[in-house]
Amino acid sequence: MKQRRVTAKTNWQIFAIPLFLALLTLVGLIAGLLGDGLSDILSWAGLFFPLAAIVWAFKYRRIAGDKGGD
Amino acid sequence: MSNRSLKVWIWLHKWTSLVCTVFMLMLCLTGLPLIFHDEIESLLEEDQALPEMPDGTPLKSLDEALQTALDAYPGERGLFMSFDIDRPVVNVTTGPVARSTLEQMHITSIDLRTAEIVGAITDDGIMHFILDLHTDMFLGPWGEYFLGLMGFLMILAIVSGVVVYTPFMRRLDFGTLRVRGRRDVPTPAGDAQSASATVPAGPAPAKRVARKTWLDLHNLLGIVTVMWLTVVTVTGVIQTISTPLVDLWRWQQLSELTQIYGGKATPETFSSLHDAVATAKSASPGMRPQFVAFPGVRFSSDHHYAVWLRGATPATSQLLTPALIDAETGEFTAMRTMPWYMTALRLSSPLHFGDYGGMPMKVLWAILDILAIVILISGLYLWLGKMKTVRADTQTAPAPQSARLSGSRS
Repeated sequence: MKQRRVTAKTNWQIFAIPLFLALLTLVGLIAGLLGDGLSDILSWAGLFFPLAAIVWAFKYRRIAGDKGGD
Repeated sequence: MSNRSLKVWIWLHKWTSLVCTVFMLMLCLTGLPLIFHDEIESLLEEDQALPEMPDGTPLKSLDEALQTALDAYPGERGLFMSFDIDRPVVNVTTGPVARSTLEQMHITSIDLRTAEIVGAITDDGIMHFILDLHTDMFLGPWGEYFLGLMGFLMILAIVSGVVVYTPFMRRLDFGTLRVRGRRDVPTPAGDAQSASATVPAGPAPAKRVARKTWLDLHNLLGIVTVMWLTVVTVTGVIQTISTPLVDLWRWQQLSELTQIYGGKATPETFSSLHDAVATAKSASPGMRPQFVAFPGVRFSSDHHYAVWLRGATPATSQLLTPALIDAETGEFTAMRTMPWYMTALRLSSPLHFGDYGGMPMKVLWAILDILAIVILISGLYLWLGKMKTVRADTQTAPAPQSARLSGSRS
């Protein structure tokens, strides 16, 4: 179980991971357009990471609701 | 961010989402089979395999293929010829006059190895039905524009959603899902006697935690897929204005062409189609013909074959370059590149349908589509739940939602 954070997060802290995932998605979407073969693999990777982040969150970021900060 | 501006963003997120949710759900559900339309169609269609022929059978000329189609419909003239990508088949469109209506036109598919007719393309079937529903809900152009408007609301919902996400995450780590812990005992349902004995003040704790779980899920899925959602929505909106864009392009192109070649009438007999395509190919190395528009039809001038060529990569295969070949002398005349808005339109199609990166991309696209459905439904659920909570809280305490939001520093 994670400890509740005391300090409020900055915008940068909130958006660092989402921004990174958004960039990966964008790279993936564009790479697929540019060619076949290697760039296809790059596009799959780009689209895969956001989904992997969801699975990761389900596994490692679950906390009891009554302890969660709000 | 001030409390007031946050309230405006929340209002915007709520209403833009609520208005478009039903339509977005329909689009996500119909879009799911459309991702795999190639695979489903080849499963549904009766065996359209071409007859076995020894490898390296020489192909007949395009002129012979054209003649087969003209023989099938006496009294008609050639209008278009298109080229199948994965088999040696051309599709010839014929009609009584250059500007025939769709009802007057006939399409004949011809095996280039034998110059004989193969199974015709049909336009009905379940996938066509789903595509029509997805495109315009059978309402024609206005249905398309309406869905475009809904897509525009969806863009606003995405942007406002990202803004509203910020205060929720001030004190939560990325991806946090607050779920029911071991200590939360689920309230027994359907036990009327015990329920009446203790009237709960506000929502039961278990319910409140469930609500947090849905909220966290909505936030997590939304923020993780935000780029994909944005791209698919924006490209979808671009698709809805494709008809006017193509009309504009045709009009521009046509007025340009008639300015240059205005004086020349349609020739009595056309020069060889086969040679025209060969000339166009040699003028643009690395490109393949997608279709040929015959002199006088909409995608050509009165005096030229327009050979529409496409590139080899997924991106450049969407970008068509017409090469104009004089239909009297067979000489190469000119090449045209597409204006920027046509480039945007053509590139928005693969980015919307996700059909440009093989099967793994289609599977990823389908998963993302299903996640979008979860986002829509969880959003709807949160709104419905809040309605109930607010009603219950008018007798007890202020709504927990607004209390939490005003408490967060933003």
